[in-house]
Amino acid sequence: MEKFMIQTKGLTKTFKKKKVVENLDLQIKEGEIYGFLGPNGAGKSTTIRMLLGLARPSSGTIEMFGKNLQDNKSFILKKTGSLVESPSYYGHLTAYENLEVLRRLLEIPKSRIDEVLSIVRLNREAKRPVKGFSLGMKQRLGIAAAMLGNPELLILDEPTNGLDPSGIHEIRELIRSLPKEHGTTVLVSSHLLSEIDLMATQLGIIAKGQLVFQNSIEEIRKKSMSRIGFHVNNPVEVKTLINSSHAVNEEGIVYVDYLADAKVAAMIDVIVSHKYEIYRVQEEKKSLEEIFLTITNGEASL
Amino acid sequence: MLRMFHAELLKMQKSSIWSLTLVSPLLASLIGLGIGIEGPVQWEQLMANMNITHTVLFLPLLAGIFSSCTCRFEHVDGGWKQLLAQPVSRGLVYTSKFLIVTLLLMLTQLLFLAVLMITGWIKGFSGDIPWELFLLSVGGSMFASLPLAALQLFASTIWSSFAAPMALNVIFTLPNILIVNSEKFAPYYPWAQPFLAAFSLTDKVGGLPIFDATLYGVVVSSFFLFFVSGLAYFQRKEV
Repeated sequence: MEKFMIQTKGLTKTFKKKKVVENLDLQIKEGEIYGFLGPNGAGKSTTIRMLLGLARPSSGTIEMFGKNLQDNKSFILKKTGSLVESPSYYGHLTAYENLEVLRRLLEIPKSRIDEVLSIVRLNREAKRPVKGFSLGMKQRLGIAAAMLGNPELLILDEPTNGLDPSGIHEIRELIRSLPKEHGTTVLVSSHLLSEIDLMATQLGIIAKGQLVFQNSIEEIRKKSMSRIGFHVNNPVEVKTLINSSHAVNEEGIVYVDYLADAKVAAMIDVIVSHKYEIYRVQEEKKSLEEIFLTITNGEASL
Repeated sequence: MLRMFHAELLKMQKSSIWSLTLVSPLLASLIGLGIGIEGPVQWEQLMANMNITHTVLFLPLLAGIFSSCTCRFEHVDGGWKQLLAQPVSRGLVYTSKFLIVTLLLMLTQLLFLAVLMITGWIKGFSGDIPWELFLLSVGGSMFASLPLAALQLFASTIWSSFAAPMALNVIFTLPNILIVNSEKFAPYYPWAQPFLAAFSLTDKVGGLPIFDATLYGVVVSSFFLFFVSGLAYFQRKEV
């Protein structure tokens, strides 16, 4: 049996009769960087809140580190670092003092504060009150706070929000290095596929509260297979002629799933022999972005 | 428990809230200095005069302000979700916050006592200081302000706005001036309890102070009611 760091079964959260998260079966393996992807309002943050015990599931179970969350909250949270949505901080305290508050709760040596501050490159700003920080600096402080307790599991909700391109790059490199250097498992959420694509090894896509895809990122790349488009003079009739359940007529072009060269030639032959005119035959590759849009719109093409 | 309290302390240390503990004792001392006192029970009279504004108005207001302040940091910039995602029990978080409020109220009362001494000393009082009365009165009103503090902490965890619990507190504190005069209702009114406790000990029977059984019965039971309800709410609160 494979060991899961996080495993949820039928996780559901209802707000005022509306199912914000519905029947979620997350499976996150140890040492993975799990990209949790979904448009804004799809239920990512609500799911993460439930994983951290901040919100109670309406139904379903959560297991983390092989234990039930409800009954082992302290044990699990001690090994988990988190950043939920916008960064949390105490504005009147300095960056150092903010971490000191958490350090006192976690009972770890003081030297760890300087370590995490230097990881997110805030050591020079450590003595300044956080209320004067830019959003990017607050975000970096939030990441430092998440890493303070040397967690085995790191849950980061939109960690690159508000960061500039170089900051995004740094955080991405940091996240990528964690499983290799410290064996940390990372759950990172985002609404940007390009971002997840650069970091994650596993991918979970949530749309309207439901998990519509969960597999390795390689698997989704296979979905981005190409298709063949025929520009013809009468696309409606050609579509019936081809008579394949996968043939579609989009803006006057008839598309079929990817075919080998010989099959394309045969199809051209059929069309031409029925006296239709072919202007162009083209191969089109779907980008990951398009696939993401297709999945999240709930279309059945996957 | 200790580490939780220790962490809460750091959040409060750097805040200006401590300076509020001085406001009411200083105002009371101005009243004490301004008033003419004669007769054999100078100290007792001074304390009674200084205690009126302090216990009718300021102590109830401060109990509310302190409670709101301990929650304010958490409401403003997402503190709750970070704090409650740490390996600490919610019960400890809530209790620590209440202890901070208690500590601030204690400090206010100690300052009041100190200011009371200084005022009497400035006025050149010669008689013995009635220690027993002073301590029981100052301690009693502190104790009687705990149900209100628990109620306000409850309100402060419910409402994320700083103003809502404060407004509630002010609205219920103002009628205090009338309510403290009602023997029937005052003991049941949390905002009036600090005043009653401060003044209920001035009578003595055979050298022993008499505790107002109704008042303290209500104080103890309402404290448990408010604290336990607040705690139960906080345990279930979603952040």
